[in-house]
Amino acid sequence: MPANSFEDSEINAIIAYLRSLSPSSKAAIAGNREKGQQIFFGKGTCSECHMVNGKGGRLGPDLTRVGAARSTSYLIDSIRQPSKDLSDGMVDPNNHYANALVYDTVTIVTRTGQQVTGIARNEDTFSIQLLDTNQQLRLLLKRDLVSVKHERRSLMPAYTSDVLGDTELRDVVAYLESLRGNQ
Amino acid sequence: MRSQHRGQPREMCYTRPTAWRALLACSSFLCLSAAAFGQGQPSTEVTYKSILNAPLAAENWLTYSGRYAGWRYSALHQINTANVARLRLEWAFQTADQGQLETTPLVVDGVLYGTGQNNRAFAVDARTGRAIWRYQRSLPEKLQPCCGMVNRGFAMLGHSLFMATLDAHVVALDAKTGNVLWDTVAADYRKAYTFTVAPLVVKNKVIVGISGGEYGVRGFVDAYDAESGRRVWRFNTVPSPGEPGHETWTGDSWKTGGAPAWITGSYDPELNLIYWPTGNPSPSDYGGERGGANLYSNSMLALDADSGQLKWYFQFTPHDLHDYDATQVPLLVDAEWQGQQKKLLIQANRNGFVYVLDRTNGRFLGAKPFGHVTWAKGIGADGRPIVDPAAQPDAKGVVVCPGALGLTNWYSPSYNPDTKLLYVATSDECDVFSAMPQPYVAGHDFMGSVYAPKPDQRPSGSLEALDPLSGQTKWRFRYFSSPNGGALSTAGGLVFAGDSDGNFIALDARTGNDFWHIQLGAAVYSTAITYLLDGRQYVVIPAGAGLFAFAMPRE
Repeated sequence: MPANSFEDSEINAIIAYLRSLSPSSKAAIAGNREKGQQIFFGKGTCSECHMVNGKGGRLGPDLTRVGAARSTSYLIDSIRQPSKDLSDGMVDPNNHYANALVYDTVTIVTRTGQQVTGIARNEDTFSIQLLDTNQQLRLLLKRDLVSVKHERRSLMPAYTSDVLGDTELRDVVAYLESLRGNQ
Repeated sequence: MRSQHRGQPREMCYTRPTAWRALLACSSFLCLSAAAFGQGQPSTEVTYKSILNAPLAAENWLTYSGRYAGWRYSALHQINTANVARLRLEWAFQTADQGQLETTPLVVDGVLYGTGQNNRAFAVDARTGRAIWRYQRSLPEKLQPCCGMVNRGFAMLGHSLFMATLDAHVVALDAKTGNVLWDTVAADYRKAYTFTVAPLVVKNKVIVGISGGEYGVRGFVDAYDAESGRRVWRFNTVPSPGEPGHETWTGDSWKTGGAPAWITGSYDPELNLIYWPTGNPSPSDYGGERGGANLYSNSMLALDADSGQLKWYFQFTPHDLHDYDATQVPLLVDAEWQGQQKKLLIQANRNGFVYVLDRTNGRFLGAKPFGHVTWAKGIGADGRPIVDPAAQPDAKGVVVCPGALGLTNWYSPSYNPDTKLLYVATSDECDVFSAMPQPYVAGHDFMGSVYAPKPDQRPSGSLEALDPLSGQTKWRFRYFSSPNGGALSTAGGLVFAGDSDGNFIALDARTGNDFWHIQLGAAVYSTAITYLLDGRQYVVIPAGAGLFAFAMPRE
């Protein structure tokens, strides 16, 4: 982003506008964060794909600071409807016009017929660096592939109320809100 | 620097021996050059005649597009379809500064001259990449180029290099030392007038066009005397009261009307006309207070090279609401059109249509879309777009294709006389345009809009090979991301292009098959050039903050 020459009053107006886009306040949700942590690392299997403070899986975004970055309603949506908004992946600092990679679902088929699904850590015209659902890196040349399919959906399953009750949801969200990266 | 190794026989050896080239091989310029080289004299002087003859002296790269016709095509063919797979890195040069290189280097008798970020400049040994001198302009703190502290290259005449600067000066540097020879103020940078353009030398004049269409400047094209730096003429791209075209602006909107001129034009020496394209009216995406066609925004101007007088104009996108600058390099091609030999001007325009004009008089001959276009339903017989009213931006936002960055943009196209194809990089991005009134404040953004990619789309792009006369796509090479780099084509049957993910690619000019590519580690924001030195053909591409030179392995 280039530096700009906005006056202070203009900067304040932009901040006010950006804050207005936040769907809810940052008031903490009424849940039990200790129970939420147990669910996160236990029956919820969240940590199989998400890392917090160096513990957990690698397939999804690292959540160590998620409480500082996301609103309560966004966290709830991300659990109930994970495909509603896909988080950004790596941004290329050498290409300021580029779009960030996102945590969408990528399925490749090799010339030998092997099908692999995962998320793209990076991709360009000639290659793709895939982290598959077994959390193994697959470093692939597109000339060896029959197809590369991007689907605008998350690999994360939707945690409906049948899977995660409302009380458990509040507990998990309370835990996530407590994650500020300062532990 | 010595150049006794250079000479006509070697140059001809690597230039395709067609009949017309053989006929012209002993034109006065080439024979003089050969004589000079034969005496072992360093020859770093560029003359108007040598630029005119650039197509026949492919060992150098003397002007932005390689020749006045704008083709970015080289007759060199040592690197060709049969051997390009063995191409290898010969040297790299780094400016070690933030931001990206958008320069097109010039190469004259073994020395490569380039401009960099923040108005750096440099001369390097074109054989080794070693610096001969570096220049760093002292710039004011508060500068407002819309799209980076970039520069697109030098022009050269005699022993002087000409650079148009971010603080709206035109400067001449000594080619051997980088010392400043003259420095002329063109406009007031505090009102967001900036230059990013590579100048064009015509005869003894240095032609430049201003940037600042995002800030409500009043655009112009200037000519400066190459020797003294004195301004010889100015053509204001927004007419003032009493001038023809002023009636296309309501109220005082002309005063901040934009119509910048930020990409290098082409030149027809027979007609003595400079073809210089212009950019968007200001504010770019809100037209409520600038009623009318807004001449001469988004137009092709045909200017008399000596006087700057307007001979004709053609406006591609009247009363633009989508930032569709016409700042794409015009291609001057002589070809048969509907049974008659014509002097044509071809432009693949940011608005999504490839146009064919009669360059003697500006008459519209035809236009075809070369990608997905929704803002207009087509181009009428009079050359005017059939605009879709539903594509007009409003406060709520509408999806329009192409997006604000265009189906193509400033990065160079190439025309190849062997294939008779036009190579142009394209983006398939569509944008959500929203617009609202905005008061003008001198030196501040003046766009009246915001735009963003369509949310459910990941923009990508292509390198397209078009038959420019029919508009038909002959082949398409898909890029993963929207491009920011253009195309160089050669008599070796190749097209060289760089993508935004850092790949430099050599494609078959006839089929689009990719023969070779290399990852350079940073996005390509420019277009390749080629030259011949020590009997070896080099291809140079800027990527990130570096230049990378490639050649065939030594025998």
